Amino acid sequence: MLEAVNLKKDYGGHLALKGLNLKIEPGEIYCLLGANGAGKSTTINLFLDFIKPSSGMALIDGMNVADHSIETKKALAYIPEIVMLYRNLSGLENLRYFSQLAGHSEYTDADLLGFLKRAGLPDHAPMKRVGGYSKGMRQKVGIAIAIAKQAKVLLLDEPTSGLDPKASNEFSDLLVQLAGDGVAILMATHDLFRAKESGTRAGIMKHGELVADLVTADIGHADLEALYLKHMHD
Amino acid sequence: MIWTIAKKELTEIRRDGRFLWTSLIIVALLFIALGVGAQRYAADRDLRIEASQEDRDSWLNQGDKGPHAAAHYGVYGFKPATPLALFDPGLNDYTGTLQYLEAHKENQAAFKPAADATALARFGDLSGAMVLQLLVPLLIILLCFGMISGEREDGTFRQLMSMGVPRTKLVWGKALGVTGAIAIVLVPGILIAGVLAAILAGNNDPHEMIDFQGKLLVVALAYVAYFAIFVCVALAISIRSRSSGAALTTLVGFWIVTGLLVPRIGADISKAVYPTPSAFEVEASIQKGRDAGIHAHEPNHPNHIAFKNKMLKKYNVTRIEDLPYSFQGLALEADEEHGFKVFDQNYGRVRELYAEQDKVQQVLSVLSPAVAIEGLSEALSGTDVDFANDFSNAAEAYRRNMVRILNADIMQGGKGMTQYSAEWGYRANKSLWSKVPPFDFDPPGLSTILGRNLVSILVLLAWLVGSIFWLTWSARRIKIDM
Repeated sequence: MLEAVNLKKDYGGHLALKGLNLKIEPGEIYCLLGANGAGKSTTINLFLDFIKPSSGMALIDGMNVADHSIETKKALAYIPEIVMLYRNLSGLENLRYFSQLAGHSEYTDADLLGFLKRAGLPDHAPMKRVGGYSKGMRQKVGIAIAIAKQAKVLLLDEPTSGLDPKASNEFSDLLVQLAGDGVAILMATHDLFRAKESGTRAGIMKHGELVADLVTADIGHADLEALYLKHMHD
Repeated sequence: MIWTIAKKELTEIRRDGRFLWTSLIIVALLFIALGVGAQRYAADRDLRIEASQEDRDSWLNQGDKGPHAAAHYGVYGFKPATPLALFDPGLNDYTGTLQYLEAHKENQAAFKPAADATALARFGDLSGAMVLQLLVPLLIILLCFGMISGEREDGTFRQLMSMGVPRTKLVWGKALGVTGAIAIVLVPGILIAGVLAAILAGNNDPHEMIDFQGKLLVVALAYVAYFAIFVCVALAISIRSRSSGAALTTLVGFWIVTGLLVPRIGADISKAVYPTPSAFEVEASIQKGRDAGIHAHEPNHPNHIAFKNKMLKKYNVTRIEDLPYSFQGLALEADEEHGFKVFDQNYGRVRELYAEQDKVQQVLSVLSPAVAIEGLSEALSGTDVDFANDFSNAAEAYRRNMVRILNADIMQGGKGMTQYSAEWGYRANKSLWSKVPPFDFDPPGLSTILGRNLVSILVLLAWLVGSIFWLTWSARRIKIDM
């Protein structure tokens, strides 16, 4: 579903990504670990076609995103560190707007409220303006947008940083549910615990290279942390 | 997708209290401007109709007198106004509202309201045209300046791009949303204010209504184009600015330069390029030219004696009493015809210079769409220099016809008389006065106005097309911040 083929990004002499090869199948949650500047966000921005690769390809559903910028976005949803919404619109209105932009004008308010409920937004919140939402609530609207869009690919860039453990846990549960529905998920994160807990695979990035690629079921919490720190010390 | 974006923008604009208050103030000003304009228009028109009837009555009932005395008595030509003048008074306060039509002299239109006004008047009267030319663009700027830069600052632009929204569709959706917001405020405002103004202004005579619907339509289209230019420029600058604050600063600068600076400097530039002689110089030149004439009232002037000898020779007689026409009539007529040439030469030169200045101004609208819309709006409202010139020309043509009719009567009626008795003894009556028709002036029609303002129209269209291209070009290049 998601595939990087020799993906390289060169920022005027600084190699942010040195030939990434990665394949994520439907139902997988791939957690990209690594220090700031390791190339995690660069990878996600390349899949979003927000930046162009220096060489190699980022493929979504077999299509090169650089050539099919608009089409490949039909299949994906993007959740950044803070989901940015329109402050003067309510959560419901934000969801309706983004759903309509994604081509889903058929949803009724009941449908949309259902998505928000599924994403875990409290019942009193959808009619309130987003200006007063907490970060956790914004992230939930972000998930609801992804659900409403029927995205097959989810790109997440540190979506849980700054969330309290309960909110973080709820968020991870939602990702697991979506993966269960066959969504391919790529998440950049610093949260080793969550990566082990909800991820199906984990990759450690360092200086633009994927230095480790493992299946989380094969490794314990402590071992993952030890492996991560070992790579960081090298 | 464009409709979805436009609808969402409208919702956001509606919820923004700033828009509500600003637009309410603008609509209130529009009501006041059109209301005051309509009252003034109606008062001026009633006064004009009354005065011209009175003037006609006193002309017809001036009693038995020599036709040349009647020519000196003269009549007044009153400048009419089309109903759109209540919306755009243009140069009306500066061009004079009536012209005294008498023997020997081509007078300039007099009674300029600006001459009676205090220095405060220079700040400009509030008019419907001013509200549309200056305040509505300001409203557009307030709505548009943060539309793209704000999405970038708030991070929602990344969200939109991740949804696969094409950049040009986003921008056109926003343009449509702004257009909708402005239309919701202005269309009912203008319609209601317009109907109220029409009721206040009352019935109009058919001369003033020439091509009224067509003029109204073109005025409306011109303003729509003008507003569209501002929407495109404001959005393009919002795209190209680093921050919303920078966009607002740039746009207010654009508004000041194009709306206030260029129109005012334009008049000075055109005067510098085509300087007009002073009124004193023109007067002196006319005096000199007229001095070469017959001097019909001075029997001892060499030119008068030479003309008399020429006439005696021409008709082969020795006494003026034997001429086939009254000598007095011949002299007056010859003197007038000479005067016509002198006036045409001198005023013609000045008018040519004014026309050249007007062309310079029209070309300057390349720098500012406000100059183009000002010129076009005044022209269609019948308050520009061309309209004033048309009136003056019609009034002068009327004067010449009047003088010729009266002189022709002396030539026949004073036949066989000495010059003295022809001037003082011959009397005409009401039947002659009624041979001079009442003054009537038809304002220029739509096609004449469009032809005269072709440059302004083309420049306005060029601004529109250019700003649309600039916006599209800029939209395709909106950067995603990392």
